[in-house]
Amino acid sequence: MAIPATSLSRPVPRQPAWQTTAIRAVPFAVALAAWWLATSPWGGLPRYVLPSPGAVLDNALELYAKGTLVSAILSSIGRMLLGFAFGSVLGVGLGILVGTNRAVAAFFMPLARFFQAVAGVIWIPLAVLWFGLSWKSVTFIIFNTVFFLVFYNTLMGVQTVPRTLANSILTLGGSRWDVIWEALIPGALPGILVGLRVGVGYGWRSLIAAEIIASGQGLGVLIWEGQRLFRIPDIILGLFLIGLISLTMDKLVFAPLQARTIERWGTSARAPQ
Amino acid sequence: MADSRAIHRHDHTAREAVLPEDAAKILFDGVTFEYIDAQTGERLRAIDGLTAQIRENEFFCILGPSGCGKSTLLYLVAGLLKPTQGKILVGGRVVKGPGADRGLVFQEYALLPWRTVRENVALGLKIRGVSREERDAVARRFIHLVGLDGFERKYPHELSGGMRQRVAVARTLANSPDVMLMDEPFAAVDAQTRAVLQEELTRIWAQSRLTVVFVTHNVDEAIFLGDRVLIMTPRPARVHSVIPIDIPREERSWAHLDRDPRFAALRGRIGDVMRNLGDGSASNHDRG
Amino acid sequence: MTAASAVYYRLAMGLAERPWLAALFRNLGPFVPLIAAWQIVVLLRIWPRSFLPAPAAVPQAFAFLVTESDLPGQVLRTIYRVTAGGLAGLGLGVLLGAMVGTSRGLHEALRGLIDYLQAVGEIGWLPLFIIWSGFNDRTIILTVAYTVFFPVFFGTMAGILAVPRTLANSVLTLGGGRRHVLWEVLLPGALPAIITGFRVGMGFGWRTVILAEMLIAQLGLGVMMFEARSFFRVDWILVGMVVAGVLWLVTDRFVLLPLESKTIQRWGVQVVER
Repeated sequence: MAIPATSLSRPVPRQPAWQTTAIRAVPFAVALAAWWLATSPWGGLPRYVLPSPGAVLDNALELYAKGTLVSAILSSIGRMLLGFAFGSVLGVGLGILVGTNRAVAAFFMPLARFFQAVAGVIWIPLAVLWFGLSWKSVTFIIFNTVFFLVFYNTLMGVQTVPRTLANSILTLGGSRWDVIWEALIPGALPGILVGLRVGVGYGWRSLIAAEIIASGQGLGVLIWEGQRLFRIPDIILGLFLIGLISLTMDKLVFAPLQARTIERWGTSARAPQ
Repeated sequence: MADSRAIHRHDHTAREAVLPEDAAKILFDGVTFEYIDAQTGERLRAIDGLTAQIRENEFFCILGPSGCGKSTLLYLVAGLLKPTQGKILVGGRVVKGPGADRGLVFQEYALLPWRTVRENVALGLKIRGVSREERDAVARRFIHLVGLDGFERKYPHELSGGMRQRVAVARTLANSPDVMLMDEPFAAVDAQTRAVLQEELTRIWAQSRLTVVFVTHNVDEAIFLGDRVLIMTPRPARVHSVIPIDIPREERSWAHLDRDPRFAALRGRIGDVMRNLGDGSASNHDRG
Repeated sequence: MTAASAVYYRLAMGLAERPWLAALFRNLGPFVPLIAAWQIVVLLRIWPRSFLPAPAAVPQAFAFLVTESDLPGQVLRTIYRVTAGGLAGLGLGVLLGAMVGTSRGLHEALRGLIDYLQAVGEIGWLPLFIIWSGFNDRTIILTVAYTVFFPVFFGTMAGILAVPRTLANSVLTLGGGRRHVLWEVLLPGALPAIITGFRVGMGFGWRTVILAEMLIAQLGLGVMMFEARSFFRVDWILVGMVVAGVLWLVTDRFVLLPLESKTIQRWGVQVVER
C-alpha cells in the first residue's frame, strides 16, 4: 500500500536499498548488543532468566549436528504446506463458487462469518478428539484456519466486484466462464490475497499451537519442551526460527504478489477481518 | 500609460516605485526556494530571487500559470516552508515559522472532518486557550458574517464546497490575523457560487481592513478582487509585472463589471500576457 | 440449491418491514440447514455418538455446564483476561504507533524489527513468558496484549500517515504547535483506522486467550474445553466453541463495528488504504 507523504515530514529522496537495509538492521544490532551485555558478567542477568547469545548459538549448532533441528523445521514446514495447500485451494474455489450468485452468497455470509471467527486454535480440543495426538490434528488445524479465512475474504472480495464489469463482459459476447475468469477472479484478487496473507500468518501461528498440544515433533514441540524442561536456549532458537520462517513466507511470496497485482492495478482490499 | 509598458517588460526591470521598508506589510526580499524532487532526487528551483512588496490593508492578488509556484509563495509567507535564499518580512519581522498572525485559507478547505462547523471556526481560539463561552460567541459572530447561521452543528462533509470554504474563511478570520493568505480558495466551487463568494469576500474585507494575499490562476477573479495584481512567470517563478487595478471598489459587482470597458481592457491585456507566458516561456527566458 | 436459496432470499427481503426481525432471520436462518444436515449425519450413524453427538446434545450440555460447572464464572474469567490484555495492547499500540507514525526516522529504523516481532507471534513467546512470569493471569494477559498490539500499532501508524497534510498545516497556521497537531489532527484522523486495528486484534486476541488458557490456566473457557477432551465430551467442547464464537461476534457486531461506522459516517472520513 502506497502511503501518502506525511504531514510532519517533508518528502525526501528515495534512498538506495542497502541504506534502508542498514538502517533497519540497527535495532536488531542494538537488541543483540543489549542481550549480550545483559547476560555478560557486567550485566549479571542469570542464565535461568536469559542465557547468553553464545550459549544459544552453541545449542543451535549442537541440535543441528544431532539432526533434530532440521527435522523439526522440515516437519513444521511440511505440515504448513500441506494444510495451506488444501485450505487455500478449497477456500478460493468455494468462495468464488458461492460468491457468483448473490442469493447464495447472502445465505452463506453469516455461516462464513461465524466459522471465520472461530477458525484456528479454538478447534484444537475437537481436532485432538477426532484425529488423536498426531500430524493429522495439526494439519487439520492449519487447514481449518486457512480455509475459513480465505473463504470469507474471497466471498467478500467477489461481492465487491462491480456488476457492470460482469455485464460488460456478457455484452462483449463472453460466457459465464469468461465472467468468472476475466472479472470476478481479478476483481476479487485483493480480497483473496488479503485472505491468503492473513491465512499464512495466522495459520503458521496455529500450527505452532497445534504442535504444542497435539504432536511429537516440530518447532512448537521444540519451544514447549524447552519450557517444560527449562531449556531456554531451545526456546530462543525456536522463537527465532518461527519468526524468520513466517517473515520469509510473507515478504518473499505474498508481499511481491500483492505489489505486482493490486497495487499496480490501483485496486485495494478492505481491512482483513 | 506607465502600466502598459510595465506589462511587457521582464521581472528584473519591472520594479514598481520602491516603498520605504517599514511601509510594506509584507516584503519579499530576493526570495528563492529550491526543493529536492522525491522521485528523481533532482534539485529543483521553484522561485527565483523574487522581490515584491505588499501594503497594509491591501487586497493583493498573485496571478500565474498553474504549477508556477504561487502556492509555494503563500506557504513561505505562512511559514510552512522556508526560503532557500532571501527573506520574507511581515510587519517588519522576519518569518521564521507558522503563526496565528498569518492565517491561511487552503484550496482544499482543510477543515477538520471530526469537528462541527462551530468547533472548526473556534479552533484557533481553542488553541490559544480561550474559554469555551468566549469561543462560542466569537464563532457565532463569524459564522453569521459568512452567512452560515443554522449550520453550527453540521460536520464539514454535510456541507457543499462553497459552504465549506465559507467555514474556512470564518475560521481564519475568527483567529483575528493581520494577514489573510488565500490559496485559490474558490477553484473547486462552481462558477455561480464562485461569483457570490467573491462579492462576499470583498464585503468582508472592506469591513475588516485586513491585508489579503490572494493566489489565483483566474484573470477575471484577480481583476475583480485585487487592488493590485502581481503576474508571475512560469517556473522558476519571478515577478513579471505588478498591475494596479484602477476600478473603484463601489463599482465592482459582477452585474456591473461585465459591461465595463476598463474591466474588458484589463482582462484583454492581462490575458495576452498570460497566454504569452504560457506558450513561449522557454524562449522568453533565453532572451532574458 | 440455487432455486431454494432464491426463495429464501426473497423471504428475507420480505421481512424488510421489521428490520430487527429480518436481521435475525438473515443471520440465524442459514444455521438451520447446517444443523439439519448435522442431525442427518448423526442419524446415519457414520460415527459413534461420542465422536459426533446430536445437535440437541449441545444445549443440554450447555444447561448442565451452567448449573453444575459454573460456566458463567469461567467465561467471566476469560472475558476479564481478554479485556485486560486487549486494553493493554490497545494503549501500547496507539502510543508506539503514534510515535512511529509521526517520525520518519523512527519509522525507517523500527519497521524491520516490528515486522519481525509480529512474525514471531504470541505463541512463539508464550514459553518464555511462562518462564519469566509464571503460570498465572499475568502471563495470559501479556500474551493477549502481544496479539492485539500489532494490528493496533499498524492501524495507528497507517492512519496517521494517511491524514492529509493540509489538515496539520491548517492547525499550524492557526498558531498551533506539534501537540495541537497530534491531538486535533493526527489522532482523531487515525481513529477509524485505530478502531479497525483493534477489531482485527481482538478477533485474534479472543482466540489467543482461549489457547493460552488451554496451555496454562486452571480456570476459564479454554480450560473447560481442554478438560472436556480428557473426559471425551465432544458436546462440552462444542458448547465452548459456540460460546466463544457467539460472544466474540456479539461484541464485534454490537460494540466495535457500530463504534467504527459511527466515526466513519459522522465524520464522513474513510479508513484510508490507498
